[in-house]
Order: sequence, then structure tokens, then C-alpha cells
Amino acid sequence: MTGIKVASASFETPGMPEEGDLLERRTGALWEILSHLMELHTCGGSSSVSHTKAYDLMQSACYVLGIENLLEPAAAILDCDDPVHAFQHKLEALHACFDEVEALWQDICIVMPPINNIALRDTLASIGGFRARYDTLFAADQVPCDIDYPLHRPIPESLKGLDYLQAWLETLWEETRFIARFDLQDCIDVLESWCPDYKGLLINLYEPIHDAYCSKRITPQHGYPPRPTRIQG
Amino acid sequence: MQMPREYMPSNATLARVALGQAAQLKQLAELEQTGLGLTRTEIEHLGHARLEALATTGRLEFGSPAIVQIARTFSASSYLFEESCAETLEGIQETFYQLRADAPSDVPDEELIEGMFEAFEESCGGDCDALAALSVAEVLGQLAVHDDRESPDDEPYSLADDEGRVYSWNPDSWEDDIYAPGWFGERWCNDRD
Repeated sequence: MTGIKVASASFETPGMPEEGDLLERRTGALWEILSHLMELHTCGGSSSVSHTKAYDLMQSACYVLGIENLLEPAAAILDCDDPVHAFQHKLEALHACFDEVEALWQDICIVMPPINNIALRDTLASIGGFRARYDTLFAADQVPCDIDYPLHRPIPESLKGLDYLQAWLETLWEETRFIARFDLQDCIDVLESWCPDYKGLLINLYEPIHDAYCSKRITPQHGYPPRPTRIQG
Repeated sequence: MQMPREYMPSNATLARVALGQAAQLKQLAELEQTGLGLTRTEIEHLGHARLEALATTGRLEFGSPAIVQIARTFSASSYLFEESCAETLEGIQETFYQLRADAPSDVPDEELIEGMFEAFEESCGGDCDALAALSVAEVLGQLAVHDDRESPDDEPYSLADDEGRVYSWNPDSWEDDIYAPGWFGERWCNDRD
């Protein structure tokens, strides 16, 4: 429950009359989009949804639209005659980003040396199916993957949906291309001496290898690998 | 790729959007065409009662107000009298939103309202309080029908087509496979075990 009290809701008082008009117009546009989503969600069977569901739908819609509040410049997308069409246009743009994220995932799978860490393997396997599970219509702000593998530098949890996924994969790509510079056996030796159960535990692989490199226990055998897959355009 | 978006809209935005429900009062004008003889004042009162019922049950109504459908269905009731019509509809409307909040989301409004109508006419004898005391299962009456509708998916079955091919379904052998098809990290499983 999101704790919304419609009857007693306190609203930010608009400073200027124009701002009030703008807010009213954009609120109406968001209402239209949410009505559209609600109708799709209930297959037209119900005229109402719970506040929790409405809030989830709004989070998803606002993520797709790229807006946080109705007075920011990005919310100008709602200043149109057909906000549902504008929303659908943004949905298509989100779908267009799928290829880029998927290519990044493929590159990591190709370049990452076969170090058998279960968390990394399972996380990458889970991300690989994101396209089929990503619900752009009703839960675009969610990350439909089991991401257990800990990165050396964690991604802010405040990032949502595909943005989180892309940021996570970009960070892992940087870690991957660093690890890929070293001989596989050197990496495994470092990991075994650092953590005997490096396969089963939730550990980051980059950190011990980077430490070993800084203390000159291992030396890179290759240069930084380029990205094997590049999305055109 | 767009710039990462770190922030999300607040509850206040949804609360502001929820004010759109009040604008649906125009749609309540349809109540005048239900033949129940409701006055403008009574319709407005029903509109306010609707907003209160929605707030109480924690729901937001985006589509056409349910009271319009309720009035259409209950206009055939033998217990709806002109002098108490608005009051009775208000009670039914409140009960509807309470039941709607408890009912599974796959039960459409129409089915719920029809179930309420049947109960109102038969077991409740036109008593709104008796109607409000009923559970969703009792109102629907046919909740078992819903269960029956879903049960075949839970039981194993086999089908044969014209060419003799047999298709079987057994939920016990079904696994929730969240991984990407065609890639299970096999390449990584063969290092020094």
C-alpha cells in the first residue's frame, strides 16, 4: 500500500498561474496514459485498480516517458494532443535500446575468461533472457533478472529498468576486459589463493586479480580486448 | 540510450492524478438515462460518495464510474423504490468497492455486479446491510466455477491430433526456467573441477 489519501492529499502549491495550468494539463495527460494502461491491465474488465497497482503503473509509465515530476522540462512530452501516442512512441524507443544492451551482454559472455564462478554464470544466464521477461508496458522500471554477482563498484540502486541493466553490464564489461588481459591459469591461481571457494561464494572476481596485478604478482599477457559486437547506428 | 533516470515520481504525483476521478462526474450524467428518476442533486451526492468509497477502499477508478453499470443492472430490481433509490444505490456502490478490493483481479466488474444483484434480489431480500455482510465468494456464488475454469491447467492431460501426434502436459515435470535459451554458461563449467 502506498498510503495515498486522495481526499486529504497535500499538493505543492504552484508559484505561478501558468505553472498551475501546465500542471493541470500534464496531469490530465498522465491520467489518459494511466487510463490506457489500466484498461490494458484489466483487459477492460474493471474500471478501477488498487492504489498500489496504480502507483506501479505510474512508476512504469513515468520511467518510459523519462519524467520524474510534471513540471520538469522532460515532462513537456505530455504537452500534446495525444499523450497515449507519445507514450507509445517512447515505448518503441525503449525497445530500440534492447539490442544495445543485449550486444553488451553477448560481448561479456564472449570475452569473459571461463572462470567458473556460479554467481557470475547464473547472473549472466539470467540477464540473457531479459528481453523475453522485460515488461515494458506495466513494469518498465523493474529489472527482470536475478542479479546476484557483486560488482567491484556497485551500481546505484536508484537506477531503474533498462538503465540499471545497462549500467550494470557496462561496469561488468570494464571488469571483464581487465580480467581478459591475464592468462586464465594465473587468474585461477590468484582466486584460489585468495578464496578457495571462489566458485561457490558470492565474490567479485575483478578485485583479487586487480590486487595481484597492483602487487605485481601477475602480469597481463594481452592488451585490452575490443568489443566483439557493435550495434550499427 | 537515454540518460539514466535515477528518480521516480512521488505519491503526490499520483494523488494529483487521482483528482481526475472527480472530473468523471460528467460521466455520472448517464445515470439520468437509467430510468430510475434520480435528480441532479442525488447524482452529485452519489458522485461524492463514490470518491469517498474509492478512498476508503484504496482504489483509483480510471474507467467509466462503476455506479453507472450498477444503476443499469439494479434498475431491474424489485426492491428499488423511487423514494429511497439514491440511498440504496449509495449503499450498493460502497459494498461494490469493498468487494472489488477483495475480489481477484480477473473477476470483471460486470460479473461482480451481477452476483451482487442476484444476492440482493434473493438471499438479501433487498437489504443493503445484508448485502454488505456477504463475502466475495458468497456474492459471486459461482466462485467454484472460477476454480473449475482454472483447474484443468493444474492437472496433467494428453491430447492427440488427427495425425496421431500426442501432446502431453504435466505440471510436475515443468520447471521454471528463467535462463536464456541456448546459453547456460556451459563453456564455463569445464574448467578445473
